[in-house]
Amino acid sequence: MSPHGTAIPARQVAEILVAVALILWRIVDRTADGLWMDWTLVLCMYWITSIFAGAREQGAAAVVFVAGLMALYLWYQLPQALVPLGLRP
Amino acid sequence: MIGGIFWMIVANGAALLGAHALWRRIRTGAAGIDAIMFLVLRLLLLSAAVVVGGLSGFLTPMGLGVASAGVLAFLLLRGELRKVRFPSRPDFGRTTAILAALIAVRALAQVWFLAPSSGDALAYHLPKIGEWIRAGAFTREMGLDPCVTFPAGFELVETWWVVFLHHDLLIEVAGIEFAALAFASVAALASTAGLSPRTAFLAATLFVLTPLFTLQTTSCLNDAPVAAMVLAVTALAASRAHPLQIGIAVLMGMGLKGTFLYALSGPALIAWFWRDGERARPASIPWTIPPLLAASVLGMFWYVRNALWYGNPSYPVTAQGLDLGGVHVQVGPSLASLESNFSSLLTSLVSDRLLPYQTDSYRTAGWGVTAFASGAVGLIHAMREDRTLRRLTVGFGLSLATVLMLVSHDGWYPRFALFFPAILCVGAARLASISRPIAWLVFVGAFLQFGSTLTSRDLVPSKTMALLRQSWRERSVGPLYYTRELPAGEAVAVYSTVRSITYILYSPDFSRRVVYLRVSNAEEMMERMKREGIRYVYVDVSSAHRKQQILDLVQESRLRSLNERLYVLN
Repeated sequence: MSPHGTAIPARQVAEILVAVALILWRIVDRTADGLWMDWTLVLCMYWITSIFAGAREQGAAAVVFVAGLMALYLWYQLPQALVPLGLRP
Repeated sequence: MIGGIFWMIVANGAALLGAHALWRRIRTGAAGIDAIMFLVLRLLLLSAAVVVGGLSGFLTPMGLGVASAGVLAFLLLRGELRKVRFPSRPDFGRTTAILAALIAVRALAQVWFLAPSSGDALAYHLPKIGEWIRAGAFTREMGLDPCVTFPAGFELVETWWVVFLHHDLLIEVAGIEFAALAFASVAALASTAGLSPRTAFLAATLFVLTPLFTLQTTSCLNDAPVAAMVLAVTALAASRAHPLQIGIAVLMGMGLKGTFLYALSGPALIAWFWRDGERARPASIPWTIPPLLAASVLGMFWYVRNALWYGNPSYPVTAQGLDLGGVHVQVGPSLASLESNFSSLLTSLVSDRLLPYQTDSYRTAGWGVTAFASGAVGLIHAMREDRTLRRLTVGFGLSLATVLMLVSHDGWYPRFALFFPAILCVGAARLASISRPIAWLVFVGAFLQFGSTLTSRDLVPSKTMALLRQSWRERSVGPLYYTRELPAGEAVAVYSTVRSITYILYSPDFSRRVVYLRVSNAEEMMERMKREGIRYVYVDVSSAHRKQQILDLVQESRLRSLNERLYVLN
């Protein structure tokens, strides 16, 4: 049942199963320390969120996840971008 | 030089008008297919002209120039110029237009102000061009690197931009030709998915700004051209282009690099998805045959040459693969490679956190923040809502999987999957078109990518500044490494047993004769140099005993060291 008390369509069940399978694979595939920042894991969370969210919430979720992923990428990549500029060894 | 510029203008006029003459006979009326086919036909004509010139010994400004003048005169007499119809002004949208213009201006500035600097390009892609231009023909001598015999379809287009000026000033324009193809292909793909022209152009602009693609565009490496051709084939398949037209692009791609074939599983699946319904029909099927035959010759050329010269079409790669000093070129599929490549791509490479961007993708995916954030979220959003995009994504996923299964798990493999961010860029553009806050984030990401790709690990600002200070005639990374002490025009021998950046020895105007020595020791090297009348030698050997032999010659005062690699006979 969905949070609204209605039956979840079969397609959405399949989507959830695929997303959960991906999450499990990531948990098995990598160590726990960096797991919370794992790209695939974050995307699976967005996927599951978008399945349950209404149209309005989906838009908001997309903004939050895009902004979060941008921050995550910059957190990772920005230090590397400084190396060619000679601002970091 | 003035004569060279004249012939270059004439030849490019002939190639453009010739491509148009062919194109109007095989156009379909479908804008996406027609744009791709025009660009493919132009590349086909440039490549064919260089192959004919190379085989006939007319690979010279005058040789290609006079032939092109003949073709141009014929086309003008046939009234082809009057039949040219320029496309209507595309609806880019203001911000996308600004971004696209910035990318284009930067690429052109890089063509002018930079010189080839990537290690692989200097070691094995470009030395063959040096030999061809100096000889005015294709040569058996292409350098000492084992990879010099790899397919060289991209080098044909580079040669086109070098031959008329007898100078490599404009060599990077070849990459821009393929970037234009990638742009048209991604726009066509996005249009296939029902996106508006503005959204489709945004997707295309975002793709050409993908860090690895944008860095490769002007780096003389062939992975971006391969990605462009994979995208062209995919877009043609999704647009239900005629099989003969798809065949032209596939055959052209084969001649670029063997790894192009690894990605064809996706376009094949996409063609199967879109098998029903009416196909776009070329204006003339018979006129499609000659370009297909020419593409067959270009695609097979290198494999046939290798079979004739070395008895192996894929020489030096054998059924066991190829070992290149710690790097293994894999042959055939491997599930272990698929698992390792896919895992490290998702775990660390896609976030580009291990190293700065680098043109050969060393330990980075180079997909950028747009693909990583708005692209991935947008693609999930799109796949949940749109059947066409779901099918396209499955096709791209299959291509990615087969590529990752067929390439070794080394530090450089992400460059073989450079086509994949295109579908993420389509997802990002689609999401931006339906959400204003996302559109802002996409453009912020795009401008960040623009800024962060102004430099790379292999072209740091100090090196760029050194190139900027050189005059255009002398612009080369050679003096930044080992050629400063080499007198202009003086011939140089190469004694090398490892991958070595020998292209810098030719000089930008190809004025220096480079003689590759296939010798087993330093004494033989000295003997060969004396026989050839050469005083200077570039030495790059790996084994301790070979290094010691060189040191002995220096101690005996028979050889004098000018720098780490360069020596002169006493």
